[in-house]
Amino acid sequence: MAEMLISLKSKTNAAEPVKNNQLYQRGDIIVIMPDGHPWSKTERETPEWRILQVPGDPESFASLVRAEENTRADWLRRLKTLDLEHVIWSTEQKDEFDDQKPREKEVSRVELISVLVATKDRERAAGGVIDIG
Amino acid sequence: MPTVITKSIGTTGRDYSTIASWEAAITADLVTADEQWVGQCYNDSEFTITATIIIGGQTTDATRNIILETGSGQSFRDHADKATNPLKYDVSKGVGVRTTSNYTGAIQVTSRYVTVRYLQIKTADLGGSNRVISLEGVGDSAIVGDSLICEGFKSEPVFLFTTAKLINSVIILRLSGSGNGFRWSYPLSGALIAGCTIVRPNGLTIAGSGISRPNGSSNAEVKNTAVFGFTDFADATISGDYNASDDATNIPGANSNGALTYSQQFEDYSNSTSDFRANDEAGGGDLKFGTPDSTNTPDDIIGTTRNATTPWVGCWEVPAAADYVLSASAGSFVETGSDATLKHGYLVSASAGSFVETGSDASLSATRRVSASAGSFVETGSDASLSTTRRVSASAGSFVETGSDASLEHGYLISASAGSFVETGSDASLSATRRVSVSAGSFVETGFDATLEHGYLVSASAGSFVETGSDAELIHGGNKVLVADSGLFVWVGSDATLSVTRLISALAGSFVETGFDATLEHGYLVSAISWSYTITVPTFFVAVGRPGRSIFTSSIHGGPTKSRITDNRTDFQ
Repeated sequence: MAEMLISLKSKTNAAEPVKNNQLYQRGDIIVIMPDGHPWSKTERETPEWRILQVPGDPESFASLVRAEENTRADWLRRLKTLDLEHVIWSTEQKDEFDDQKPREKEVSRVELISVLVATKDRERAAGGVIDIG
Repeated sequence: MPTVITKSIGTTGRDYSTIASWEAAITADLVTADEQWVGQCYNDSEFTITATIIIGGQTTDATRNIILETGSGQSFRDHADKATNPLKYDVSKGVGVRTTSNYTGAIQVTSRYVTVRYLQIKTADLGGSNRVISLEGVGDSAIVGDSLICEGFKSEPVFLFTTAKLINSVIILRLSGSGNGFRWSYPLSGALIAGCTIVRPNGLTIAGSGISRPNGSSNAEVKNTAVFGFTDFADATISGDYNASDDATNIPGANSNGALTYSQQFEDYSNSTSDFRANDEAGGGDLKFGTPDSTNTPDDIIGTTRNATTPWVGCWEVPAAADYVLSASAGSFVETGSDATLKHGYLVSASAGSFVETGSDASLSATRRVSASAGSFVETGSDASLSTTRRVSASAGSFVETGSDASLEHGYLISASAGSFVETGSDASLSATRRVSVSAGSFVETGFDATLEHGYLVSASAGSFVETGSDAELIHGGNKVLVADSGLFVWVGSDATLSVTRLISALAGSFVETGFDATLEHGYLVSAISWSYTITVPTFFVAVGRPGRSIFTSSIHGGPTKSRITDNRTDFQ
């Protein structure tokens, strides 16, 4: 099993919008750790973060946390992201990715197929991206 | 002043359990927020990562900046044995960050005004490019890597861009064959590598360059940096000075040295074990020729203050020995767990009482001394072996050897360069063919008979041999001879008495008496048992027997039994 720390809300840099591509956007995986990782209280309770437990070892998800090579000013921190609106949830988990609502569980378990279906290429935002969180 | 937001990072009750989540929490625009963010890593466990930790996207300036470092007491440079721990990645000595996936670098910095310091960072020995650390800020980036231990298995494990600086860090490339130690991409004026050690350990095939600069300005500066284990110091022209290497290709600076012996410069340069602390001068190290840089490298990778006049080149400063005292004013001082090394010129002394070394062998290297500047040095309880040409000497007072035999090997002397050597109190035996000699002054033998075996001489090669105070006897039992091989045998100053039946003879050649009168007492013969004798006197010859009988002649010749001068009669043929 692996545990992913997911960003639910896009960060923006008003001073330098081009850097928004280098900041975490909604659906980006911040970090992947082995099952049972001792997440801190901050990580478990930050409203705009969620922890997903997924079958598989962390190395098998390495492609989801790769960055674009730093060869242009608007390079992407993540080449892949998760379309959180398309994650397959059970009814009771449907609000799991709403950062305006309190989380019901510290770690939410999802099936591998849900992650794979929701994975998509991250889009580049010229001059900034819109916070869709 | 900005608000300093310090967060702890670790897996035991810290603010964040991963460096990535700490970085994700950093305010995007630190200048507007007027914040400085400091992440302090704790060595609760090794930071294993499957994705490159990126510090990027933030807006910063000189004071609203980002620092990633270790918590108090958490770095290898805080370890109690930091001065003696091998210099290489070892998470048991401090915070370590290690990748576990292929194609995964460890840390990448793209925001400006970021400092990463005091960490150990290592990448996995897996496929794909995976840099240990990349400092990639654009323009005047003000990114600094400080006091880092970087280990990688792929070419160019450390990457610097534009004006990033790397100081007091060690880069260890564990790659055999083609590959460089460091990549400097588009360096601008202001880019700096200072006080760093860049090595490929011994046992790996030497190739590539320690520093690769494929593009950018040659004004990029390298100073006080040691590069070993590569074909070339650098693959392009760079500026700087006071660098060291085993190769001189593109090594900058008139005061750099590009012909040093790799094996002598570090505690252990092997790939299997490795310890890239600089070797001190007593151990053959040659790196003490750097130039002071109080701005960038006032201290070394573990915080040791650099020498103010001649610091060591590389990330490691060998501290100058000071007059420190380990003392036990009462009881005893116990040193356990590691070797204690005495530097050349320093003493283990007991100003009063005694110094006791027990439990293990003490080895004295060649030219080192065990000395007692006052009083005496006592060696008891075990054999002391002196190798050839070594001395046991007493420059003043006396040297006492007791309790066992002392053997001098052939060709070695017991000598007194001044004064005399005195042997007292017991017999001194000289074995056959050995000599008692004095090249100057005199040799005195007293109290016992001295016996010369057959075939040996009492001789004075110059001057004279003097026998005084008692009779010297030549014992009968063969033809004892007083010989002068050349020159004369001279008997002067007193009468010589030949007892009856004794002869003055010339067994071969002739017996010559010249220059003085020869007086034959009554009843004695001048004879030639074989062949002839010659008596030559300038005026006259007197044979004394009966008064009035004199023979005037200039010479008397006679053969055996035929020529004799006898009492009162001449029988001359």
